[in-house]
Amino acid sequence: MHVKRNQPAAILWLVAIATVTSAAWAAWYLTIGMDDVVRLRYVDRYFGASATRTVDGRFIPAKELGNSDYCGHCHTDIFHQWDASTHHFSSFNDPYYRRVALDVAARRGPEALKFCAGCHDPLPLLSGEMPLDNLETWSGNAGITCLSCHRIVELHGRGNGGYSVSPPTLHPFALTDRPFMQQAHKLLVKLTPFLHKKVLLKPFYSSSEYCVGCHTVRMPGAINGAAALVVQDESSHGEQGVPAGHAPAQTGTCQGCHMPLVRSDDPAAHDGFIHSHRFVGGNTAIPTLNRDTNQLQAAISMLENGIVKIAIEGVTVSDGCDKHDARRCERHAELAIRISNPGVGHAFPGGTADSNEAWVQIGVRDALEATLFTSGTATAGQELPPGTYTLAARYVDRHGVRTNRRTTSTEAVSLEATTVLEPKEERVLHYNFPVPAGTSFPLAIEARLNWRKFSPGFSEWVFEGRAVEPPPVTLLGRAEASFPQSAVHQESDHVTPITAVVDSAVSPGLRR
Amino acid sequence: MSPRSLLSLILLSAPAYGGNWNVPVEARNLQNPVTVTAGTRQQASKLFTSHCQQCHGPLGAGDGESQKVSYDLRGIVVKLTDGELYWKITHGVGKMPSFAGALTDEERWLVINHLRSLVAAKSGFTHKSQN
Repeated sequence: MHVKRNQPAAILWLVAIATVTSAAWAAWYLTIGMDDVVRLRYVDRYFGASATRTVDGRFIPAKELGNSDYCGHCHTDIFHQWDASTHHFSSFNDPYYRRVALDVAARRGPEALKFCAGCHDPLPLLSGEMPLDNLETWSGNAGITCLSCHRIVELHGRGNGGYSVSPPTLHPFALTDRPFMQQAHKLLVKLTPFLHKKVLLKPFYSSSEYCVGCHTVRMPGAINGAAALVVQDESSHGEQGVPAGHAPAQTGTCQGCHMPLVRSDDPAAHDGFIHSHRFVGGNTAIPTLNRDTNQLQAAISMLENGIVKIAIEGVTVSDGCDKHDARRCERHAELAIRISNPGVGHAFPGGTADSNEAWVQIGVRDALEATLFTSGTATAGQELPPGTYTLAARYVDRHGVRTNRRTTSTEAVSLEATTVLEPKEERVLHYNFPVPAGTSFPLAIEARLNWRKFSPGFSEWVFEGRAVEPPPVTLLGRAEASFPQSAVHQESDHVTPITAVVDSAVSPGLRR
Repeated sequence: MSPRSLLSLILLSAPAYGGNWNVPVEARNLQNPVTVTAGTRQQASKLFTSHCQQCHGPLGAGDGESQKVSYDLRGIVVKLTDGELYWKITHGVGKMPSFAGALTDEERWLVINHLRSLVAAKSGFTHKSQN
C-alpha cells in the first residue's frame, strides 16, 4: 500500500529527471558536442568591401544557415516556392552571376568577390570560407537560403548587403541526419511554435528597407577601379507605392508585389494564405534554363499584369512636301506612341537595368498586308535591330566605351544615359516613316512593349558558345489602331500636327 | 534482443537523412532531349568525371575521392525518371550542391545519359548508340 501511494510522485520524479537530463544533453549537443559548428571569431577586415556582418563578430558555419530543405519538411509549400526562385539561384548556381563573378575575380582578385557575396553568396561569406578556391562547393551553390534571410537581425545603411546576421538559436537536433532525432526536433518546434516564430521573424521583415538591403547597389572603387557608382537603386521609389487597381496586392512595399499572398495549407499560413516565396520579378532567364514552367509562368503573369503600358497616342499621314525639307515630297506618316509606368513601384526596368531588355516594337501594314514600317522586331535569341527604342541604363567604362554586359564585369565608371521609366512616368515617342504612293488604306498599326531578361549578347558572353535555351520575349503591353484613308491630311505646306487620334486598345495579357 | 539494444539499433542504423527530394509533377515528366551517340557519350563521361565522380565515384558506387556518399547512385537512378534526375541535378538538395550554374541544360541531360549507362553497365546491358 505504501508503495502504491507514492507511485504518482515517483513518476513525476522520473519525468523531471528525464527532462533535466534531456535538456542538459541537448545543451551539450548544441555547444560542445558538435565540433563542426564551433564559431571562430573573425577580424573586421575579412569582409573587405562587403557591408555584411555577423552580430557577435564570429563566423557562422554554413551548415547552420543552409539547412533549407530541412525547413521544407514542415514548410513544404514555402520551400518549393523558394527552391524555384532566383533567391535560391543567386549564387554560383546562377550561370549569369557565376560568369560575372569569375570575370571580376580575374580582374580584381578573388577578395573582390566578397562585395558581391553579401547578397549573392551569404553562406561562404558568413562562414569564413571566402575567398573560394573551388566554385563547386555546396555552400557556394546554396544561394540565399531560408536562414540567410530569416536570421537577419539588423539593417545598416541602405544597400550593398548592409545587414547583420545572428547565428540561429536552434532547437535540439535541428542539424541531425537521423530521422528519429529529426522527429524529436519537429516535436520540440511544434511544442513551442512561439519560440520558433520569435527567432525567425522580425517586424522589419515586412518593410521595403529589408529588401533594399540587397536591391540597391553602389559599386565601390574596389570593383570598378574608379569612384563609387550606383548601378542599381530600388530604394528611392519604394515609398511611393503603387496606385490602386494595378497589381493584385497593393501594400506599397516590395513584398506587396514580389511576395503576394497565395493560398496554402503551409503551417505558416494565416487564414489559408502565405506570402509567396517565389520572389517573382522580371527574371525569366533562370526558370527557362531550369525548365521550370511554374516559376516561368509566375514571372510572366506578373509581367503581363499591366504594370507598364503602351498606347497609340496618335497617327498623322500627310500628303505633299515638307516645307523644311524639299526632298520629302512624299506622303509620310508620323506615329506617336505613349509608354507609361503606372504599376511598378520602382523604375522600370529595375534590377540589372544595363543587361535587361525592354523595348518598343512597331509594325505598320497596309490593307494588302504589305509592311510599311517596322521597329524593334526580334524574337527570342535575336539581337535587337539598330534604331530600336529600349528602356535601359547605359554605362560606360573608363575608356568611354558603352558596356554591353554587367556593370561589374565591365568596370563601368559612369552612367552615360538612362531611359528607364520612373514610377508613374509617361513618355511619348515619335516615329516617322514614308507612305508610298499606291498604299492601300486602312493602315494597321501595332505597338508592343516587350521584355527579355538579358540581352543575347550578354548571354553569349556568359555561355561562351555552349548551347542554351534563349530567354523568352514577354509581351508587357500591346496596342492596335486602324488608320483610314479619310484621315489623310491634304495640306502640303506644313508639318502636320498629330491630330488624327484613332482608337487604341491596350491589351495586356497577350503573349507572343 | 533487449529494449536497450533495439533502441541503439534504431538510433544508429537509421539511414542518413536524404533531403527533401519531392519533385514537382511537371518536372518529373520532362523528357530528355539529348540522344545518345558516340560523341555525346564521350562528352557525358567527361562531365561526370569533372563534376560528379569526386563524390559518387567513377561508377557511381559512392566511393568518391574527396567526399564519399553513403549509397550506390545506380540503385537510385534506376528508380527515377530522367525528369526527376534533371530536377535534382538542377536544384541540389541536402549535401549535394545545385549544378544549375556549372552545367547547362544540355550538359545536365548528358550527365543523366551517363548515369543510365552506369546502371546498364552494372546490370550487363549496354546503351544503344544512335549515329
